[in-house]
Amino acid sequence: MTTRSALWNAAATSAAMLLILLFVDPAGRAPEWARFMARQHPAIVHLPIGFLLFGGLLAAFRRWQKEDQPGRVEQAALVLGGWGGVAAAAAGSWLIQMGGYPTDALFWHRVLGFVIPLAAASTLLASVSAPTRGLRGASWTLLVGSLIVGGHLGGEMTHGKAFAAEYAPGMLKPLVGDWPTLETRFDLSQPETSSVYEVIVVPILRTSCTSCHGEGRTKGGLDLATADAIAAHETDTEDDPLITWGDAQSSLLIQRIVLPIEHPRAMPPYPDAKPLSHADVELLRWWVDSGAGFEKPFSAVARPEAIEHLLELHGLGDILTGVFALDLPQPDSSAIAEINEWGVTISYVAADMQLLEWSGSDSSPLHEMAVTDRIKEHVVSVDLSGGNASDADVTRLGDFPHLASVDLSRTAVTGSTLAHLAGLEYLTRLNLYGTRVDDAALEHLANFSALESVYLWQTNVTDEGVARLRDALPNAVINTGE
Amino acid sequence: MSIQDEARLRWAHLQTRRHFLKSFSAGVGSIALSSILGPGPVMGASSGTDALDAFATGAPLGNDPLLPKTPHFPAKAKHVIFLHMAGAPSQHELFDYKPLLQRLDGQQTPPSLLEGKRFAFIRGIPKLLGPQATFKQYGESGAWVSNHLPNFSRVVDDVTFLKAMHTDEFNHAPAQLFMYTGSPRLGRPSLGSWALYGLGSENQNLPGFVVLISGAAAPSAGASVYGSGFLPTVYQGVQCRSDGDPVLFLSDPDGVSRDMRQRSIEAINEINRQQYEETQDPEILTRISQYELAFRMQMSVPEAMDIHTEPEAIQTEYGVEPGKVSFANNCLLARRLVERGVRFVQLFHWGWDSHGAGESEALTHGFVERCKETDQAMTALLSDLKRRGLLDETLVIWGGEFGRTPMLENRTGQDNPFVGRDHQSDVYTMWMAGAGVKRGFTYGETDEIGYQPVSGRVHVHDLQATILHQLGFDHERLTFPFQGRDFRLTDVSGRVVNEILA
Repeated sequence: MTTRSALWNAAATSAAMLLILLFVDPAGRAPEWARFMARQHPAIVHLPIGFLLFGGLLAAFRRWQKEDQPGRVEQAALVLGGWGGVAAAAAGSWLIQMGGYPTDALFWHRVLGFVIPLAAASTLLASVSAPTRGLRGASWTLLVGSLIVGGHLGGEMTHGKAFAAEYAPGMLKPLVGDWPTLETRFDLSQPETSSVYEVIVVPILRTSCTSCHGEGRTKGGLDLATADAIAAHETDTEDDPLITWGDAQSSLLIQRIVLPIEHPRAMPPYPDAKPLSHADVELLRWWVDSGAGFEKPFSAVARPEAIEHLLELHGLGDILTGVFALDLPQPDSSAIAEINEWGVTISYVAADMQLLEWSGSDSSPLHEMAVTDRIKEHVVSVDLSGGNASDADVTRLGDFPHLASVDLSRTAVTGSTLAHLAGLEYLTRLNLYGTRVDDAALEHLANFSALESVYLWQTNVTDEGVARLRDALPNAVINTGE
Repeated sequence: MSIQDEARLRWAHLQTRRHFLKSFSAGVGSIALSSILGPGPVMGASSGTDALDAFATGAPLGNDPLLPKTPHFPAKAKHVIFLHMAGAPSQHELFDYKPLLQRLDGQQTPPSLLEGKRFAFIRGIPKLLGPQATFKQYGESGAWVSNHLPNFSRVVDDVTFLKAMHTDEFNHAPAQLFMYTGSPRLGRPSLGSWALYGLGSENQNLPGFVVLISGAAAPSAGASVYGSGFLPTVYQGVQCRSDGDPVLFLSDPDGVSRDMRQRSIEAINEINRQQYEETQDPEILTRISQYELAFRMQMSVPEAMDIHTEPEAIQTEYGVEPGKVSFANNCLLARRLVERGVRFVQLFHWGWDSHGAGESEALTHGFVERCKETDQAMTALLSDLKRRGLLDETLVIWGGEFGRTPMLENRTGQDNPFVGRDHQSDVYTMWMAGAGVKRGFTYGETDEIGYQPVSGRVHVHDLQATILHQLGFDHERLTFPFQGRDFRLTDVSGRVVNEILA
């Protein structure tokens, strides 16, 4: 083949790709006549992949043989592969119009789909005109690289992300990467701060709705891209509101996604797009029924059994909060054994959790620093009730950074050293009943913002002192026994 | 017989079936033991050290199946106090207020309500019976409580009511067995035994599972409702009495000093230990630990059970009757036991079987007496636990084995000065408080006459699953292998009632 014909081939390929790019708008609707072709995209696409990889193998073999001129077969492979790619790109573009594919993977798949025919044409040009060897090599690398990555993205969209690597042998897994699981769709690592809307609803809307209703397009005047847009939406008078909090049945958002798929008003429109999964429908319905709105944090919304079960299937069964979410290494078992010997009961909070509870009436083991320091990060609860605990022990407890519950009830503690506990960010429960704690000691507690319950029955506190504490900690339950 | 003959005979004896079974059972025993000890106390290298590891590494077994153990997930409840109103109290006179039933009082029950129904005693067409009480709403939650519980009405905001409980049984003994063992037939371990098996006890000087009985009779199903079934007997409930010897046969026998008792127990345990080395039968471990526990209990139980050491004000608050066996005494005891780390305290108070066949069974007499006997004490128990911070980690449950019909039961069909109701298993009321259960909440709804559930049904297995959940267990994973399969309290059903959890 001459350089001239290779140039013509490149020009024609570019023109064809330009036509596709101009006339097949990914956001438009596929014309009826093109739909059959569109669905053949997966069949068509494998032909150019085969031709081009075959050409690549020939080129590699030729280079190994120190042969410089590409053979006719290699040239034919590049021409056929390139034009096969053009056909695949056309079919693929129509398929995009039919919808139902995740937008992020789709973007790069599409870009590479356009790159490949052009790369094939330029590789042919580089092979026959051969300016330098380096340029030819680079061209081949671009072509084969695009084929592998683009093909992989396509496979991922049809078969799911884990498909290829799922059964990889253990030693290969680090190479093929840790593919994302269902868990990563709903990020519930911060259930106390992130809202149901943000962690559950947005991912669902992104999968099934916002490619038409949001992200620049608002079909039917509906924009589901942001909380503000959803809240501001007004439906036609004959329809129910988009969302009626507490009543999914009377919410247009839910009504439209649960219609039978052949119903003209069913969403997403079938067969252009995939219906929502059962789990997604149920989760959206729960969001509306619970009246969680856009702000309510995930952990504050009651989850019925069915929802809990769905989340479990998504690998989100155990939602840990506060101190239970801490990820700590295993505690030093020899230290535990030694402390147990001193008459303290150290027990694990739960299987598979590296958190410990300390309970014992003799508080002196707390001061065996060399040993207790080795587990102080792990102790979340200390119960010294009815024992010989003193103010010095309270000071020492300040060194246990993850304490959530401290029970000093029925001891001689006066509370003068309670300020040492101020740095304990997880401290929610403080039992001081039956101690000599007084108003001065309560002053120390005023900035313990995490506190949820304080027990002060049978102490020296006065009503005024308690009232001041209640003002300082409006969310805490202050129990004085009355 | 020559010495050779004797030797041959001895050898033949050793080859008997019994000997084979004995040596065989050593292997089985050690497997069983590993399952009993389960995820063990903190003693080995990692969390959830199990007994098999302990065997493998030769680590000390701890020898005590009652040491604290690790639950599946963080427990909200470290203790349970179950107030069982044996005989099944009527929800219509306590919590489930139905004004319509009042208006329909004395009318014949429509046949549509009776079709396909079986009653324990009612025959023919019964008349409806309006509530024999007046109702008011209390607290911020607005819970309906009758005039029979004037004290309890003050603490409704600490409680979750389960208004649509239901059970499979409609006679006392099977229903009580069902409530505590998950099966209406004998032989399964009780709720308290499961709790102790799973969690061990916090106090090694007191039984981990204590049973306190008041009222005219013991529960109909007898000691099986707190038995350990096929679990090792170390987990069975120990009945303590608030009058006389707290635990029967605990005191030293006449003429035996405590010192001599100690030496004899040591000797017996030494022999038992040798036997255990030989056979590895886990029941021997139970026997050893029970001898030791009994000896330690000689000191600790009288102290724990001595309610007279409580301040006067507390005794008055509970309505304690010193020197008697009463529900009030038992409530105060329950608090003292929980405070000392007892895992499960089971109270039974008999006398709620209000059929109306006589004065003691009448809703207007015996029933009212039962309310008076329990109202003040159970209220005091809740307030006392609360101000001590114990309610955070103690689950209190109140209820009977089933409920009662909205219809009048008239067994003889003749004029009867007393009114009563028959057994009803389809719907009844229980309440729970503390340990992560919602406060001031009502779950479940019944129809206009309190005869059928409308929503929020909770089956006995669901209640059991929920109690185990609060104790830190997945009820489907707390199992014990017996007769070829893994048994659990909830058998093959049960759902954690998440709706009532805070």
